This record gives sequence, C-alpha cells and structure tokens, in this order.
Amino acid sequence: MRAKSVVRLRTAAGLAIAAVAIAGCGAAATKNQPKPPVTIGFLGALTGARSSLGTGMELGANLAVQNINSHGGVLGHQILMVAQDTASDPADAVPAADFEINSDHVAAIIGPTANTTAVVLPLADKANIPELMFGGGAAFDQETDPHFFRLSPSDTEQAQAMVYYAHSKGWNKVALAFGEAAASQSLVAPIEASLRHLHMTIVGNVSFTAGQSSYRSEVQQVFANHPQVVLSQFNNTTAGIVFGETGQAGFSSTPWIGTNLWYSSAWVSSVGAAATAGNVYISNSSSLGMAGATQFISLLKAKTGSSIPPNGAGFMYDAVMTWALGADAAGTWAWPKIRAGILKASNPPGTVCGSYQTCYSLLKKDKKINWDGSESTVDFNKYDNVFGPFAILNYNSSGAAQTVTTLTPQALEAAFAG
Amino acid sequence: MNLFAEAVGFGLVTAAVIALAAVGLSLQVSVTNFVNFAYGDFMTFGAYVAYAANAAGLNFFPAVLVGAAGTGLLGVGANLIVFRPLMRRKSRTLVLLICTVGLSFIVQNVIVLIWGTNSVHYTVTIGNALHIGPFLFTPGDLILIGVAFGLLALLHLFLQYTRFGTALRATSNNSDLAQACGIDTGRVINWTWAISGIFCAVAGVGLALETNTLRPALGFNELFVVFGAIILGGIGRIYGAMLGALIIGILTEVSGMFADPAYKGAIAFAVVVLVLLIRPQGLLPSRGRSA
Repeated sequence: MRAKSVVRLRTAAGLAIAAVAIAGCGAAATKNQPKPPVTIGFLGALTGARSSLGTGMELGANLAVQNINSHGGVLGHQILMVAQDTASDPADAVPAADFEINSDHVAAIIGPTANTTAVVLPLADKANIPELMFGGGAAFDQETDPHFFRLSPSDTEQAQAMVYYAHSKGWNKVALAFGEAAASQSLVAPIEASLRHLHMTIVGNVSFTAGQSSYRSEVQQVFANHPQVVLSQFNNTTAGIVFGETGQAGFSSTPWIGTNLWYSSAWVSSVGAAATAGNVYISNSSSLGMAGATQFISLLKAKTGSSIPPNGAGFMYDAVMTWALGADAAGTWAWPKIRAGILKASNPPGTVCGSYQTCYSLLKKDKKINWDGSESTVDFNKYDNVFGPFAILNYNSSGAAQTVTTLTPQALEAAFAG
Repeated sequence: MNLFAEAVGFGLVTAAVIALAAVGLSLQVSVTNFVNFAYGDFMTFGAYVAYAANAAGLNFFPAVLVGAAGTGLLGVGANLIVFRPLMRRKSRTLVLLICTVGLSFIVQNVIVLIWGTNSVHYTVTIGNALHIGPFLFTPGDLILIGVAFGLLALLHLFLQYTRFGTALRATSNNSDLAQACGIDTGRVINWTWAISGIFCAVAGVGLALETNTLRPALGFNELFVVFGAIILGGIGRIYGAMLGALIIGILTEVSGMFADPAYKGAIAFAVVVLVLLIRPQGLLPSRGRSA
C-alpha cells in the first residue's frame, strides 16, 4: 500500500515537472519566434510591350527588399514582396491590385505607372494604404490624394530639361514630333510652355500614329520649316521607320532630343545606324550626386553584374526604401501614420543619408533624417512629387549612351521660374 | 504643289508594296476561294528568310530569291498539310478561315522563336532621296517600283499567254469544270500557293526596306491594308487588286497632306467604303475571278 502511494507521488511529481518544463519551452519558443513578415505588393508590366520596363522596376524593388531584410527588416519584420502583372493595361491592373489588397493584404503598393495609377489609386485610397508610383504623366503634377506618392520626376520637369538643353545649344527653332499615345502627347503641353518661357520658336508640330508603314508625309511636314532641332517621343517601331525615312529624305544632320523612352537597347536595335550617328540626344533621369545611388549600384552590380540599371529600377528601389524608412520613422506602417512617417524620413531638414543601415541607425538614435534616394533627393513637394537631375545622353558609334551634361533640378527651376 | 507631288510619289512606293501583296493574295483567293489570314505573316516570314540569307553573307538580291523560294515552299506546305485535306473533306469556308488564323499564330511565333523580337535590318539600305521632276524618290524606291511593275507584268504574261496560266484561270473560274476538262487542279492550286508565296515574300522584303526595320509583326500590321486593296479592286480580281493598291497607296499619303496625318489610314478606308457603297462588286467589271 505504501509502495503504491510512493509510486503515485513520484508519478505526480514527474508529471508536474514535465508540465513546467513544457510550459517553459513554450514560452522560450514564443520569445524566439520571428515576427511575421509584412507584405507589400508590386504592380508592373511583367508581360506585354512594356515588360522590359516592368521587369526592370521589379528588379529595383527586389533589391531594396533584400537590402532592408538583410539589415533586420522593417520594425523587426521581414518584408515579403508579392508581384502582380498589369501588362501595362488598366483593365488588368484593377484585378491585380484588388488581389494584392484583398487576398495578400499588402501594406503598400509599389510600382503602378502613369497609365495604371489612375485605376489603382482609388483602390489604394479605399484600402488606406500608400501607393508609390513611377511615371511622368503631367496629370499627376497636382495630385491631392494623400495615398499618392510619385518617385520619379514629372514629364513637366523632363520637358524643361529637353527645352533647356536645346536652348543652351542655341537651337531655338524647334519642331515637335510626338506619338499620338497619351503618354507621348502629355509631354507636348509642358514642352510648348517651356519653349514659350524661353522665347523659342515652334516651327512644326506633327503627331505620329503608331502602326503605320510609312511616315514620309509626316517627316516632310516636320522638316518643312527647317527646324534646328526636333523634340520627340514615340515608340520604338515608329522611331525605326521615322529615322529611316528622315535619313532617306536627307534630314539626318538635324539633331533630335528624345525622352528616356529612347534609352534602351531595343530602341537602338529598331532605329539602327541613325541611332549611333551622333545626332540623337536623350534626356534621362540621372543618379549623379544622389546619396542613395552608391548602395543601389553596388547591390545592382552584385545581383546582375552590371552597374547600369534598367529603366525604372532605381525609382522602385527608392519607392521601397522610402516606404520602409517611413514605417521605421513612424513606428508603424498603418495609415495615417505611415504617410507622416514617409514625409518625415524623406523631407528636409535632417541628416542626409543614402543607405538603409545608416538611415535606420540614425532613426534608432531619434535623429531626424533626410533620406536621399538613387534617382532623386526624394524630397516631396506639397503634391507628393519629387524632382531629380536629368542627364543628357548621346549614343556613340557602338550604341552605348554617354552623358553629355547633367541638369540639376535647381538649374531647371531657376531657368523656368516665374 | 511640291509637297503634293512628293506625297503622290510616296504613294506610288506604298502602292508598289501593297500591289505585290494584294496580287499574291488575290491570286490565291481566286483559285482556292478562301482568304488566307496568315498572309501577312507569310510576308514577314519571307522577309526574315531573306534577312537570314543576307546575314549569312549572300548578296541582297539573291537573298530575296531565297526568301521568295522559302515562302513559296511555305505556301505549298500549308496547302498540302492543312488546306487540301480539309478541302477534300468539303470543309466549310469558316473552318478554313479559322485554320488560317491558327496558321498566322504559328508562323508568327515560329518567327519569334527563330529570330527573336528585336528589330533587325538588312545590310543594304535604299539610299537617300533624289528629286526626279516634282517627286522625291530614293534609288531603292525606284528599284521597288520597277520590280513590282516587272513582276506584275510577268504575271500578266503568264496568265494570258501560257497554258498553265490558262489552266489557272480556268480553275479559278470553275474548278470542277476545269477538272472535268482534264486540268490537274491539285497541281494548279499548289503552284498558285507557290506563286502567291513569291509575291508575298517580295512584298515583305519591300515593306521591311521601306520601313527601315524588320520585326515579327511587320506583315500582320499591313494585312488589312492589303485586304482593303483587294476588296476595292474586286475580290479575286488580280488587275483589280493592282488598281486598288494604287488608289489606297496614293490616297494614304496624299490625305496626310491635307488632314491630320493621324487620320490618313482612316481617310483612305473611308473612300474605299464610299466606292463600295456605289459599286459593291469592286472597281473592275466581272470577267471571271482571276481577271
């Protein structure tokens, strides 16, 4: 009888000890368990005619995510970026954004371009999450939706850069040659305004409809009044035909200034020899002097082996970094504090920083930072637009683009003030 | 007046390319009685085969012959493998049309698979423009117009003065009767596909030269202009296709001088619709289909 009691006691004690041990292990496990990741959603043209842009943008965003995660993530949470394809079509962008918001429960949307932002922004607005977009559409120059942030300079600034350069070269008789697509036509008005501001003369303004097999009549109209320069943007296929026919018509000595849309190997391939003849200049966003460029280029080179970023990559890198530092500054990624955090981390005053670890360590010491990105200073104006330097590029004989000069936002602002 | 004359000249060049394509398609339609929606991609295929031969070191003109031969073989192959079996089964025209659409996707994707999506260029250029009277032509334009004229003249002589040409016209008019008269209509149809492929390839090369760029969607984008030319001239009427091509080519360029160039295609087709409202059978009177 006494032996049975001892056995029962020992069994009970053993069970009690086991229970305490299990409880202790559970507590330790909970303490060591990593925080759940925070999900952000990338939207871009991963297929279709603009897939080279979309995949470049996704690369930049991924580089930022990997960089931030390698330094502890956002507020201790690793970032998980999910990507949906818009095919650069607003009809596809809506379900893509809807999926990210309602199924993936993203904390921010990264990457819609100018032609898809118009349909995605209302969804972001309804979900109370920020949308950090890339694109120059002048329609967003005075966007008042607080969820909207643009990480690339407006077409208005690009128009000023093109006109400023032409003026600096003494090319004051200007012809305009733009594609009929909205993305091209949106440049015409700011270019005309900039030309008038500098008292330059428009001697021709011809619209080019995509998909035609001949533009000879249009080419004759562009050059009818002997312009000193042609300012232009149209797609690669149209460019191939136009430049061919321009050469055939004997106008190949007239310089052209195009937009960053022409800064691609596909454009050089389409246009052929005319691209490398030395008469084509391109205004493109520049990383010159940007504090965030060093880390971005270093990450890019480690990932791809190249230090030349694809179109859009730098802007989306800046977008993810901006959101992450904003969340760090605000202590949360929830709305509306995330908006205040983004502005606090990005805008002056504050210590300028360009790498995530530097910016984050300053924030942890309660210092005010002024995060500068890889493509702009990421200083948002009252409409949440940024301004950046523009490089004027010129293709050399082997098809590589070289910088001719760089135009700072301050210089452009001074030239077009008032 | 100068710009107008130049536009007419540009229109003649455009018309030359459209005429080559339209005549080839019209010939095929007149004999087989259905439209090949893959025709634009056949044009692109011919241009790419010529490009491949040119890039491999062959001189340009022999390369064009290679392209023409290749596209002729493609046409014959499509007939033997796809269309003839269906026609023997008395398949409906709709079935044949859908097959041509499928063939269009296949050919376009084969082109992308082999040559990629980036634009490519021939090693030859068409030169700089010269003033010839009131017109502005490059040496390449003149060669293209000359080649188009020569090929169309050859076709005319072939159709009118050779036994095979007579057999082709007979098959086009009534294939059952032609067969009953001892004409090997199967052979006639094969040769029609081959000749159509040759015209198609030369048109494709001409188009690639004129647009300074060769890309996978080149011919497909031109297809509806070609359709417009053969409808305007009268479906299945080869001489009508030539006339239709001339009208559309010139209208397209001239309208750009008076209206916003963005609408020049629309204006040209508006005129086509107007003509068809007045004369639905097309511009040329009916004298059998391959006339």
